[in-house]
Amino acid sequence: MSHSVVRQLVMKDLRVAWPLIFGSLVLGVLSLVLSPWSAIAFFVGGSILVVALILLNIMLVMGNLINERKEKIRVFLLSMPVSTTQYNVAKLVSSMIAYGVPAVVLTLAGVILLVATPLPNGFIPLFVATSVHCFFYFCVLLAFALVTDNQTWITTVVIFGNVSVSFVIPGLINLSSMGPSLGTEVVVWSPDVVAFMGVELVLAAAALVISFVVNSRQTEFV
Amino acid sequence: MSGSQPLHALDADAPLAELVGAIKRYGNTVALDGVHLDVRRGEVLALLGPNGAGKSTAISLWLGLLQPDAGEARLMGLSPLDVESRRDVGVMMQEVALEPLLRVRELVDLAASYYPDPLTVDEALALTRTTELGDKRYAKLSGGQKRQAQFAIAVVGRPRLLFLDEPTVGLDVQARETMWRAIRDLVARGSSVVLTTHYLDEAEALANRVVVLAKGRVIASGSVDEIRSVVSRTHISCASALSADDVRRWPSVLEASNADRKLTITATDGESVVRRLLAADHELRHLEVRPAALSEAFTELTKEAA
Repeated sequence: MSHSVVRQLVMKDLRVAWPLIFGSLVLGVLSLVLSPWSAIAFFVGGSILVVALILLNIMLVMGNLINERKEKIRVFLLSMPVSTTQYNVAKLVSSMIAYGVPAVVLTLAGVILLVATPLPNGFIPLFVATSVHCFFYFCVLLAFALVTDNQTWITTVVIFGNVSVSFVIPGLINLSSMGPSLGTEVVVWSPDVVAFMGVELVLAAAALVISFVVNSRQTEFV
Repeated sequence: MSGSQPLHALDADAPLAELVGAIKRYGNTVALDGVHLDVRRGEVLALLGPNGAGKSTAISLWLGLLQPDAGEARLMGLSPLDVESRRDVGVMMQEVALEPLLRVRELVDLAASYYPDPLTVDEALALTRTTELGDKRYAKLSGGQKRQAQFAIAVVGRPRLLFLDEPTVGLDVQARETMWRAIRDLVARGSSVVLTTHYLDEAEALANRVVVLAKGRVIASGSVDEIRSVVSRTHISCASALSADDVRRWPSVLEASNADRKLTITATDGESVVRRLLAADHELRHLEVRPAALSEAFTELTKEAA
């Protein structure tokens, strides 16, 4: 596999996705700046941050994969000396960078904000676990988008993904090992939270590996 | 032929692309029905046929974008699924969108990066006479300009084989002739071209060989003249005092009409009719004789196939 071709494809995708990456970073930073001002601002800022990550996820996958297939850009690329493996690896890498960089930057910035301001440090595990869940949602949507154009499947994943956040955050807050420490300065990485994040990361990796294998076997592109 | 021969190892006579008994179905519809087709070095092969004849399917099989249900497709002596087979191939497809935010120069440069020995961006733009489009964003181009930009992308890899699927759709007359000149330049440099087009004058102007497809089968194949000769018909026009009614009764005359002192005749044996016209009217002027157009042969052939 030519790494040069993969690198060129990744650079092309990042060039196209750049406004989205930049926009999500701006929105995320604004949400973090807003957070320390009051309890309500903290709640609103946190919500905006989650929305920024979800929007980045959906718009990135739609633009980078689904629309590209719909507009036959993929067919055009595969008619040139680009193999399906190179194309798939490039899509995986570019999507991971385009989502991962803003997500990691914003998560780290959020942790630093919690540590550096009077906001309770006890929120750090919840904040990180929520960020991991958003990453899990991104990986599942990316995995589906790699293997299918079917609008019903994609819409179903988006709906479940969006709704899941509304259950995961209250679920984490209500964990007996997490809830009591949220308003304190004590950071508690309980086994429940660590297990939750571990399982989501393993499932995310599994979804991507399965979709990659399925997609690599595809031989019809028109 | 071995399944792993690079182009330089192919025999000089070996076809650059081949379909061997290729069958392709979409559900109950047979798109290609046992088609044998090859593309030879240095030729411009025009694939003609009505909509749904199987032209785009044939190209998709050659490019590895579809797989035959039976038979075989080969490109540069290799399986089209082998990326090596596409290193010497350029493609201009129908209904393809390119990244709208990128400039033409960037798109050509990006395409060049996939090939082992590409032209420079400036060379590709100059060859296709699209230098003035280089700095424009793809989204800002007109439909015809987009086709021109796609043509520059198709040639940037120094292709030995170029697939052009309806290349001049949306182009004005001048841009169309410019593209024809560029195609002739490429052929003069040693490239072969597979051209699909609905403009039969385009096939007439560019192709060395024409293959007519209908309902997934090859119904005719040969040079433009050979295909034209399928319809034994000659068109004659002249300024003459002869009456169309009289001429219509001559042997081999299919049609005759008078308008504005101009006599127009369609005949199966043009030479005998011209001889008789000259004998019958010594004052005859402005004589024009032309053979049947490719379009007439195409219509005749596809009508029979239907």
